[in-house]
Amino acid sequence: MKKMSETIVFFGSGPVAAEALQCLNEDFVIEAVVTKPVPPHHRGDFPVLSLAKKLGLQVYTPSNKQELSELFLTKPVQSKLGIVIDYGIIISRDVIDYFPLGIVNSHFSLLPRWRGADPITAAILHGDSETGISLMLIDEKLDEGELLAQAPYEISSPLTTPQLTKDLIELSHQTLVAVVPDYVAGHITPAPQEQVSIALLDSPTYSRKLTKEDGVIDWQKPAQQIEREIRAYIDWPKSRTQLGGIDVIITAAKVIELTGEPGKPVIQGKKLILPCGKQALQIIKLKPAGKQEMTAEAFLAGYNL
Amino acid sequence: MAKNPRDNIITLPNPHLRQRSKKIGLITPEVRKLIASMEAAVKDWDKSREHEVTVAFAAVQIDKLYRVIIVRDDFEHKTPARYSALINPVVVKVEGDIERDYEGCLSIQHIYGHVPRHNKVRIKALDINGKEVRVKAEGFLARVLQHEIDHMNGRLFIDHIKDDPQAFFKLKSDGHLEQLDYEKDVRDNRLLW
Repeated sequence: MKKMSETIVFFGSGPVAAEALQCLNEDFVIEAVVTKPVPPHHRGDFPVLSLAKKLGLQVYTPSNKQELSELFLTKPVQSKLGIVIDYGIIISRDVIDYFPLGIVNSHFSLLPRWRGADPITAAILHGDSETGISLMLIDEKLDEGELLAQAPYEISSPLTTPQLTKDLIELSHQTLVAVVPDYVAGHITPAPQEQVSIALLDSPTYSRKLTKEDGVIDWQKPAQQIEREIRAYIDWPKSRTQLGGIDVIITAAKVIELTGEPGKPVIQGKKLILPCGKQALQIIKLKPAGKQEMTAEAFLAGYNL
Repeated sequence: MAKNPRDNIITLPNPHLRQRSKKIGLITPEVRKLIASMEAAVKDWDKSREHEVTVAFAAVQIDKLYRVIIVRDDFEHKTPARYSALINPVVVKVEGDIERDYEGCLSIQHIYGHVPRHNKVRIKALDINGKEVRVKAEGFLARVLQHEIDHMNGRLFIDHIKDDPQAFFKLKSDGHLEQLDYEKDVRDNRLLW
């Protein structure tokens, strides 16, 4: 006896979504991809859209919540399940209900910790020793849906946001491949986050969307906090300050014991040190405005502080 | 020209599909070989299909009229495929409600049926080592076992729905089902009956 393969509908827009789509396509039959339209005057790559076209998948591009709802009134798909990753448009109740098995979201933290827009940055900023991914059935509230599964990830060394993102995408994919078929087959019953979360810190916390101002280093903060910011903000908004009147972006630093006037550079031999509100940061690498990234030593050799 | 394992699969109107299969007396190396060629045919067939997956298969479908079936261990995960063999399977009892669901057959091309079956079944059979096994199945597995044991007796899923004009579908190339025109495509289709 044969049966029709279960199909899924993928909702996603950003670069993380594109990587997820690439992975998912190997293990699932994707009936359609729903993604944001290319904005007018957009230049460069639009990763999900170009990948979906390359894979020959059916693509829909509603541009907002309203258009998305209208699209589903036309009954465009037959899949029982949707998967949403990094989509960027709010999915309303009627669209969620269109899918008999709901829409699964892979959220990059151990919910209920770090609900909200930027869980990866939040985990690094707070020096969490563990994070992970959560597969959740979305509802109308922000990241409060019932859980299908969680997979933990130990943060054992200081990671930057892109490093952690890459590992969590991989973990998310492994978990989706293992869990979604079991869920479709009826072997998994979704359960509320507060009942089944495996997070060590399992009271709800919220991450917020970063702004450009978050990148301006406040040397009054403790060195440990600024060092985390440097790793968390490395892609965007980047940790910026001025040294000797020059705009620089700090890309790597380590915490050392030293006290001094916060933000006033101290040069010890070939070391560039910036005292903070508590302890100090030894700068390892930095990028002066308009120049390549360089070591602190090279910077000291080329610039007079 | 080299033959693909899937080319051994027979389809309607081959009359062998309407015959009873013979019991296996002793599980010989030939029986194991038969099971291996059934698995090879199914795996090869699956590779040729984008929107379908084989969940079980009977020996008669490669024109070997013996009471042997294989059942996929895992219906939902696409890879890797593993199968369990059941020899001389018989239905001990059917129970539960009658449910309808979609099913197709590698020996009936292009057609899916919305087929009513019992949602619980108990069967007994021999495993590949000749040990008696009893299976209490529910839901989709119950459906699969009933479908395969029907094959042992020359019965096909279309026989269960032959008078139901609403129950016949075809799978389109995009993976969607479309209802067939019963009068035109089903009732007087010489290939089927």
